Amino acid sequence: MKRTQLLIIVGALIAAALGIFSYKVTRLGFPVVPNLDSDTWTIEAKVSFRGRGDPVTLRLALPNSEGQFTVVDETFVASGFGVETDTTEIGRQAVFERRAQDGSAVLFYSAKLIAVDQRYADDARPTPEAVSDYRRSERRRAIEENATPLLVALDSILTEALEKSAGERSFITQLARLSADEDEDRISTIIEGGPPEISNASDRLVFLLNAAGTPARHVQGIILDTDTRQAPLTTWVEYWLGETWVSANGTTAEPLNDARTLPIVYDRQPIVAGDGFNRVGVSWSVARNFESQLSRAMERGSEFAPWVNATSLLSLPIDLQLVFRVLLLIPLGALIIVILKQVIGMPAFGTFMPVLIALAFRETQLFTGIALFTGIVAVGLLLRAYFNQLQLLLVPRLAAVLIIVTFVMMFIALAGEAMGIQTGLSISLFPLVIITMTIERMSLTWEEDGATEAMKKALGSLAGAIPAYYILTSEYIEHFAIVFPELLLIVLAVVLLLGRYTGYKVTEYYRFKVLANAGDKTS
Amino acid sequence: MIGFGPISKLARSGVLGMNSRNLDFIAAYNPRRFYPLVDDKVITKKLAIEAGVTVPELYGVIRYGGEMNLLEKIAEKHRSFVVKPSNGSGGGGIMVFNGVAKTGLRRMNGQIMLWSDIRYHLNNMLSGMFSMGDGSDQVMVEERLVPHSAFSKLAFGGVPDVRVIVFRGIPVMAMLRLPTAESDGKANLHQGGIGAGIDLVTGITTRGVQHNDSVDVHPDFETPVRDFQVPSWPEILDLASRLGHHIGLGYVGVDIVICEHKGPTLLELNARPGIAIQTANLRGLRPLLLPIHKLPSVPEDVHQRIEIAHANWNGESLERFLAPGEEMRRH
Repeated sequence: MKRTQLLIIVGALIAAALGIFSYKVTRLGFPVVPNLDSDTWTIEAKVSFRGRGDPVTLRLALPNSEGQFTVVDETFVASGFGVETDTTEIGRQAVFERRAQDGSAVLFYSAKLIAVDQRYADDARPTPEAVSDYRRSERRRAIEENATPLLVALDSILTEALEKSAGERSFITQLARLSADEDEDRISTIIEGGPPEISNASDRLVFLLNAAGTPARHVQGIILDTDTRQAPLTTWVEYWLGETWVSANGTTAEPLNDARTLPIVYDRQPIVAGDGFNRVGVSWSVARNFESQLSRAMERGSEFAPWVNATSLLSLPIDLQLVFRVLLLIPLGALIIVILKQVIGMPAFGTFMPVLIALAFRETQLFTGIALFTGIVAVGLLLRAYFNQLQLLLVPRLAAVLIIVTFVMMFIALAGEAMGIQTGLSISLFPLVIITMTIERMSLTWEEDGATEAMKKALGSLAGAIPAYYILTSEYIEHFAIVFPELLLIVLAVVLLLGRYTGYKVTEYYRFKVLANAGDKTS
Repeated sequence: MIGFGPISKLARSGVLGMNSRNLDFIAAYNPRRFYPLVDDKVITKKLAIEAGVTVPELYGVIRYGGEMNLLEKIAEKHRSFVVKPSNGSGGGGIMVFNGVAKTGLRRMNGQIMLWSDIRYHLNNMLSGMFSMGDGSDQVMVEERLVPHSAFSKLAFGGVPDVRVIVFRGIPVMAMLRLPTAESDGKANLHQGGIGAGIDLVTGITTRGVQHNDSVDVHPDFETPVRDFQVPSWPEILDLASRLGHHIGLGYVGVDIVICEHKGPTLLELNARPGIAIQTANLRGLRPLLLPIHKLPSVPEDVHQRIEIAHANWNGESLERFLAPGEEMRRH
């Protein structure tokens, strides 16, 4: 009766899990393995400034969705500030406002960039016009009227580049090569006579290209390269070539990888503008997400099956997703514990201690983790034994051990820093409490059942923690858990089944070996 | 249960594994609401008295740290007594005293335990350090049982006891637990005590094990541990059967001390008796439990239950114990 009920539940869970899983994989194309080279990025901007007690209006330039990327999931963290986004002819901006700001303040902006598949990109974009007072027709007329050295040099350079080139692209390359040589007479003449900013190579190239009738613009933005906390703001140029803007090196005009350039402002517009503040600084950080196939699957999902997206953890904000990346692994850890305890029969402290230890290791790495754990537990055990001699009550004694463990961790971190060793000891509440509990349990077992039993259980706990650690840190398993959380229903089903497991544990075979062998002789 | 080689051999020998014990017997026969009856030794004592079973006399119960002077009064009056946590498990926290000195109390090994140490120990017990579950506990002070003189050369520095597994009121398997120097006078197999299997019909020990290894003699006395007639055996079975039937738990371990003065006396009950008893008896529990499991009902009369126990131990069919018109259960 109970058995049939259980089997029905288990069957339903597995069927549901596999059903949702296969729908997501075959119909929506959710990736089964994490896609390791894809084009989704998360960028963050941190703006810090000092207010003077006056009303503050701060405009931060934002990337837009016109180029290679679609900007999604934009979030602003700006406590006390009103935030709105505004699109003007100079681009998209976030406007932060506050009636009065005194002292320093920090604003955050983060966004996710999804590479746009160019095959489906909107082609119907109007061809821009080259903006210049020196275009060919005007130039000719101007030279006839008044042959200034600037106009003559400009004309000569452009003509030379044109003569040496076999097409639009090589013309641009030639022009860049000529433009780069600042010692050349004509170029220095242009620098002297032209607008002030063209002493800079990339601005000069933009100036020359526009003069030649090729629309070009100066860009400030970020090169998406690797994950980095400090992504420098970089300068490059864009020119219009064959129906599209091409990003290129500002000096050589060599095209850049479009999938890696994120323009933020054009034509030397400021990144941050506004009034009521000073000492402003903007730092950008970039992180690569390995989920582009996933985002496409999500897009597809929103058309065919909105419920998939509504129930997907990927629709949560990044920081919450990070939490779930860990949380969703706990069911797997629990499964390991069930197998270790019910099927293998491994001795350990407490029920879920090994998983908790493994979670602590996740923050310290395995080997440092084991070393630290053993060291701190040993120190803790000694101190606990001493406190026992002082005859302290249970809870205060536990508290005292907790405090000492805090100090030991602090000391290890400081000593490691002083000796230049990376301890990987990220101080968090989690390992601290786990270690203290382990110490208390271990010393109790030690007193009641002897050192052998305590050691056996300690080793058992560690031995359980190691496979749990590998599962809790596997990129593939993490991917599975967060993309296909429905598969955890299978874990639940297995755990339920094991809940009715009445077979022997592996350790029982060794324990009752005598009986098994005795049965042999009599039968 | 079909498994690969070694496991199927284990299954053929009828060994009861931990998982099967928990699910097939404890979960199926021991309703959770009865657990406090055996976990709280004060309640167990009351129930045992109801069932007409001999128990150690309760001198007093200490509930708060402030009641510590009660211990001094009891010590003055009785001189010899046992202190144990009411919800204790596995013998943790138990202290035995047999005399009073100015500075403290004398322990069985002759050492004087200082009053301050005693107070600290009691506080630990009260804060639940030795107890099942969490939270506080109370401390029982009760009569010290003097082991039967037959054990003088078999028990080192402590009190031996008999563990009887009782299933549906019928004794199923028993073992004698002997303290050794290594176990620090505790009759606990975990800590190095000796477990000796007992023939359930005759009460004669069949073999001994220490740390899961077969032993023939007690390591401290060199006296043989097998072929020893446990004194008052019929009374022991009677006590175990009576209490097991009365308590409402289908699968229970009854721990009995054979007292020199009072005869078989209940020490404690255990709702989750361990499975090591099988090694001591070199016999699996399963083939002994299943026939009783199949009985549709169990007689009210303790003598009939003990008859069933004897027949069951000898491997005889239990058909003849069926009431007219009854049939064995299928599962």
